[in-house]
Amino acid sequence: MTLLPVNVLPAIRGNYPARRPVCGLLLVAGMLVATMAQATPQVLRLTPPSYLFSGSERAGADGVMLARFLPRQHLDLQATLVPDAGQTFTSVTFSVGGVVVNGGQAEQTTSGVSPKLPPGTLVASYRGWSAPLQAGDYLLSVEAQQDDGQRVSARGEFRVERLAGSGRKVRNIIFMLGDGMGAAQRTGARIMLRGIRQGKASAPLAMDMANTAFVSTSSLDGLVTDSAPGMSSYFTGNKHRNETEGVFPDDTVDAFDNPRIEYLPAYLHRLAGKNLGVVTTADVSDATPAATAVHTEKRRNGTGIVDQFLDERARSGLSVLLGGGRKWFLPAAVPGSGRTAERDMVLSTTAAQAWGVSAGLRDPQRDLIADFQQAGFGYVATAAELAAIPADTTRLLGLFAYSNMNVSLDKIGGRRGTSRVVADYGLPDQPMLDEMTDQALHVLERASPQGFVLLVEGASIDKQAHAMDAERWLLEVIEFDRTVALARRYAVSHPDTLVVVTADHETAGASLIGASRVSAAELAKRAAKGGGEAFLRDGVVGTYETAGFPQYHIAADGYPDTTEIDGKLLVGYGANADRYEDWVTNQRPLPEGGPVSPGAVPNYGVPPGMDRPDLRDAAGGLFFLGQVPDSVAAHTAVDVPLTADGLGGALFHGVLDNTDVFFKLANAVLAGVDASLKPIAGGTTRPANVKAATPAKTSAAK
Amino acid sequence: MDGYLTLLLIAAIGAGVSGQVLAHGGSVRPYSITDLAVVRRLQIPATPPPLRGDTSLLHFEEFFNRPIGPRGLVATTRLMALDGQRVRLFGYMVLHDVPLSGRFILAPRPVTLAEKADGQADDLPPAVVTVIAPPPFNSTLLPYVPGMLLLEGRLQIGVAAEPDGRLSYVRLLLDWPPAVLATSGDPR
Repeated sequence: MTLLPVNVLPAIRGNYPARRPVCGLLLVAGMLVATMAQATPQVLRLTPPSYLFSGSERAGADGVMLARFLPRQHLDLQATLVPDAGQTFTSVTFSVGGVVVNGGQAEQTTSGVSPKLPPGTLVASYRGWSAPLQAGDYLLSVEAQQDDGQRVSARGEFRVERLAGSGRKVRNIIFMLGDGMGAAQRTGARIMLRGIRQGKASAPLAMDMANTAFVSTSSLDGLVTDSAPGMSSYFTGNKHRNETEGVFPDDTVDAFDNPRIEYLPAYLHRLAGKNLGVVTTADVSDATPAATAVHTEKRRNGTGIVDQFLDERARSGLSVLLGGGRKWFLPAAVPGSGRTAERDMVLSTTAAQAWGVSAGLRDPQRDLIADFQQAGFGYVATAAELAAIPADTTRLLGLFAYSNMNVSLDKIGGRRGTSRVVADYGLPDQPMLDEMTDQALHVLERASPQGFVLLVEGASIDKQAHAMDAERWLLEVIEFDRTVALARRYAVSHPDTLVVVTADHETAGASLIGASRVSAAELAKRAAKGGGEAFLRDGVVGTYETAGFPQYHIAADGYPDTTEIDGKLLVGYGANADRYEDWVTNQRPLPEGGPVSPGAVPNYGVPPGMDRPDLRDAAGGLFFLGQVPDSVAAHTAVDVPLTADGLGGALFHGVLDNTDVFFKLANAVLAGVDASLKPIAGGTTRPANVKAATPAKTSAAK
Repeated sequence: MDGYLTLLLIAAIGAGVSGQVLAHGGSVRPYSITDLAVVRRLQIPATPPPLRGDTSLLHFEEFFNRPIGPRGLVATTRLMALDGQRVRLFGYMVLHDVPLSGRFILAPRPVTLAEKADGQADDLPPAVVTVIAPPPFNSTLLPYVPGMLLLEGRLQIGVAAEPDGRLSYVRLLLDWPPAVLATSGDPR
């Protein structure tokens, strides 16, 4: 089948029957009510989504196109059709660029459709369709006929972007996502880690690179994205509805049957033999790691998500998976398991065949660790085991916690012997993010003769910003930056490697409002004594020149020896929940006084309410009314920074939509990086820990 | 000491403590700072009440072999021996973003769950207890009670599916009338 884009085939343009009636996403709600009484069949949804289907005019040559793909990128076409009462559809036809889409991958169902829709509603799909090879804008149409002969049709559109470039091709992509990491999170970590004197930072962070862009992050259905569409957009090139990853919305109840969009790693594995590695400090079923290879509309369906990692690895090239989330890998009968049948996945035979993957089973008793091992993966559960993997390891699974891993402040406290948090969790030997990434790079390099795509997520920057726990997210950014330094060292020794550092969204509206005007001891005294605004705000918060410059001391392990310094950095939040603030580092993720050990005396000294973010630190009496109605701080819609280094880093500049990044990444790998693209004047900044790299080694600084 | 749970629950329900977990129809409203006063008025015991003869004090550290091994949790012989027995536990009521009727998770440290945002990718420690309230509270949303709690009830061991899709392994069938529930003192 040869398809031509409409912008090179004017005769096809406009050669489509008008949709009867024109309907759009914004009209769906009203149509649902009206449908019952109308005497014409309806097209409720046409996927991929488009402004044209929503009632807008066609995009011009330079217009904003909602759905965009790469040549030969796979996706599912889908339409939701509502017949007249008592009627059924006898035929459904998709056409692209005037050519009927046909073959053996069509699928139609009236079962499993949302109960909110009228009986007989049909969801028709064309699974695993390959986007046209030729770049351009394409009209998509669907036409259906009822058994009484009535016909209905609708039009949408999408764009196939051009792969263009020359010169060297990027071999490896290290995509580093600091979850929730906006500008304030970066700046705060720079102040804490590098220091600032008389207005100048003493040194840049590793993530402070000359190639810099701003990225807008809104999702398909909301100004403020969650992490699932935030990450998915980077790796599919398309907007997603909140809570969904790797799929477009649909009108069925099944969480795994939505129209799929091929991810960048799978696309590059298929076309260029790249392998995939995923490293995160979160539960590996969490949104960001899953949005590299997993297709579902419900990011919380952990059982099916982790199954998909393994069962579809032939498509994704998954070779490394490191993080938390062990509970999803244990048979349901084993204590600690989280596996349930209702959160598992089964694909239709058509979808499985079209995408060349296993249909899956609802198998809560599956031993997924054993299945990974059967597939050739080595398995590790502690930092010590990770450090001791055999030199010939080519596939690696590491599950260091039952869900999210503990955060760096607590892991470092455990290593220093100053905190019992990780011991209390029963998991005292969890690796740091840079240690996981170091081993991931070793394994991927060994296993990937054609190169790799590695996602590295600093997950709890977001999670601790949600909790408005400033010191914890600041140390998460420092841990993440140490990992960026590691990645940049790898790029120095492997110059065909592209390193991109960005975020899926900003979390909490974090801002650096100044610094304390009092000593650490005085601050602690005020926090304990109370006094509220006059004592703990007016007497403490230094703004402008009264803030001075906080000076933290960095210990040999690379982290502040204490975050309680005189004149410490102060953080405020623009998307905060109700909270008390005393500016003092919380010694626990949330304070605990319970007797976790036999014989321990219950600690009645912990005030009530200190165990939730909005009530913690109440003793100081300084209360901030939340600007959001939730129990935790919220994501925000502000642009996030993106910085890049290595081959192709210069592709990233200006203000980008998050979907733009996908096309730049793919272009750098498949088409090459134009030699005329030089780093921005002044060159790439390389902080000391990058300069000090030994090119042949990738060992993390321990 | 008897009646603390009753006192807390009634006070909380009646005055609407914790806007996320209001009882009576499950209506939800944002937490209000004025709600604090209700909890603060409660008198807090200076020391734990003595154990009844048929009740064992159980700690979270005694649930599973530690440090945890490379795969699943391994229940200790002490935990297994207490299956079906009355136990006392100290812990924190987990603050659920999406609370369930008649039950909550008790953890050895305070935890906030953001189920709406993160599903079951969470910060729960491996050793937790699902606390199941007796009638009449088994069919209504329980108010969130901050601070450390002392709970007594009958221990139930074994994998079970909870209404929210989680699996529980250790459950506490809370006494009724409640034996004891204590929180720590007023921070002021």
